[in-house]
Amino acid sequence: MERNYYTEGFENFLKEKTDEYKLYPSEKVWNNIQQSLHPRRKWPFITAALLLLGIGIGTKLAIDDWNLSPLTTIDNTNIPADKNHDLSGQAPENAVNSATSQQAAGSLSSTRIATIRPILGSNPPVMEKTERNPMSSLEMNPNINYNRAILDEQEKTDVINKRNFQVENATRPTAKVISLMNSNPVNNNGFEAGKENLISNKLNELLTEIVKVKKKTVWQLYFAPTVSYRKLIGQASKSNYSYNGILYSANLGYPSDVNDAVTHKPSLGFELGTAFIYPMSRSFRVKAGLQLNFHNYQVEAYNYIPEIASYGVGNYSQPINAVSYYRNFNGFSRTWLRNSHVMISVPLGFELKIVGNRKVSFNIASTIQPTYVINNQSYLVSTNLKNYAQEPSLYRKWNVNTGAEAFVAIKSGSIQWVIGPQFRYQLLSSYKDKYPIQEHLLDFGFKVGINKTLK
Amino acid sequence: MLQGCIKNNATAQQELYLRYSPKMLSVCYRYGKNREDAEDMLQEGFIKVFMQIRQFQNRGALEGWIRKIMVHTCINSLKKNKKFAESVDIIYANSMHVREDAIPSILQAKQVVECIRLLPLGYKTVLNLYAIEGYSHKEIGEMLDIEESTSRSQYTRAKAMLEDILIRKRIIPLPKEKPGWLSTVKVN
Repeated sequence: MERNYYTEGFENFLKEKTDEYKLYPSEKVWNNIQQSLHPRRKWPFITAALLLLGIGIGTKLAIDDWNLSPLTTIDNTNIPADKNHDLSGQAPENAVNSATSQQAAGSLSSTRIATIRPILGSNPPVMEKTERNPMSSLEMNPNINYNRAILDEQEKTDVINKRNFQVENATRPTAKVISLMNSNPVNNNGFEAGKENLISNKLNELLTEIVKVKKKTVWQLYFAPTVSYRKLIGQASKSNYSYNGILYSANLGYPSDVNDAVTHKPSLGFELGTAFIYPMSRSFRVKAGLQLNFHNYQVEAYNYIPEIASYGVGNYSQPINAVSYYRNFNGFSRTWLRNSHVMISVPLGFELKIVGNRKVSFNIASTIQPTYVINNQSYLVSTNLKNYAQEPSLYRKWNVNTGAEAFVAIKSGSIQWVIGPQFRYQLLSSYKDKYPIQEHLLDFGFKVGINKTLK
Repeated sequence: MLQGCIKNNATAQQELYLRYSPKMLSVCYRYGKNREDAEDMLQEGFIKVFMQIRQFQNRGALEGWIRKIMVHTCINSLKKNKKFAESVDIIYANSMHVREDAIPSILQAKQVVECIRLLPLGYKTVLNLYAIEGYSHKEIGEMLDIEESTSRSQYTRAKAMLEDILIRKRIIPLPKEKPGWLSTVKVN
């Protein structure tokens, strides 16, 4: 600067006047600066989305896999009829031996069924239905008529239903059933013997399957619109406080209890989740899952020029300050600040059937939910209860929620509907302990879900 | 606070912003087309301040250093506008007229700022840089990519136009009556 500025009156006049003039930037300027300097990490959102997607795909694959169980995959249309493969000679015995050895290796796959079927011919043996006893359907009829025996879709469904019934009522020891199967009269005809052995093997396999799926895991997908609210606990700071030459005023002339000073109202949120439920007994089930919560409520405030909002005054040597554009009282114009939280949780808990049968039942459930807060857009009231500002350094990332619900479970076809009210409470404060006011989030919701039994 | 800003501490940055943003916004406001434009300049300027704060080594006042960054940010922003180059290169701006009714009747400091903002873009930029920020015509010429003589000429005309506006608005008295600003300036 080569010029002596202050010797020139006009310039001096202009400088003095322009220096007196101050303008207060809007809140978005600082938010943009902060966003630019401290960009929020987006990976939690991506991780959560991928996790939910992964669980969904995994569950779908699991269901599809179970739907490929032996009896349900019998499909005559997919198996070429070979009339040359009649049930004569040594072929049946070979086929039986082959099937038996494969059975020992594990469960029967559709490929293996396809191997066996041509040997039997296009018309598989029928298992006669009877209403006397579910297990009796598994007994062999020595006088099977192969010409009329076609297992149509209805029959297959019946067999599957009976198998499911047996799962729930499986009190008869498997060994006894197998013994019963083996005690059937032996036909001297080799052809009949091969046929019976084959059916016997298949039934053994079925019974093995029954034992295996006695306790079936249930997959649940649910959604709940919620009404979000919060509970506040805390007192305003009582005395003036000075730090680094800055005087922080106390809450003189304002209410002392935070609940008297703050006006807030609930807003709508939602809960979306998936869970796996495992039955421990007929009425008690344990569950674990993954859940996304959006929590949302509004706080009354007043627009005002930027001020310092101080947090932790009186309790800690160094207060945390933030720029506030909102006053709790006496501002320019009234506004409602939206506080929102996006959380991902792992609900772990149990369900208890109180009353009901397989079709309809009334249940209660409870969960404990370790929670990670993905996004927190909250305005905190300052310690003196005068201002609102956002102060991310005070937000708690990890939390614990608890949930309770009562629901009616209604069976409809292959799925079960789950409908009922629920309540969720955040055990730890939304903010770190150095912030003297505690906030516990509440959600009242109405859950609608579907249960699908994994066969 | 400065150490906190060097460590990229959000709280310290917020404190610094709170302290200097009102003054700096008024600086940007004198260069920008409107308030939104000024806020964009302010935002860009403060991001530069926080990114480059390690370069400030307590030589001189922090406010002066921030102000310098703000002014350069404003000039760079103006230079992106093609019309700006034309407006600062005009030596004769006799056709420029200012409507008197456009001058706001508010507090004097704001009146002065608003009057400066009424000047044509080239005039007010040179006037801001020379009369208020204290840059020399040589420095202004380098900053705006114009000749030093052009800057000098622009300033002379800008000053005359602004005086005229201030007199008509009765913010300063007529030169015949009094030496004008001399009576209102506090001499330290």
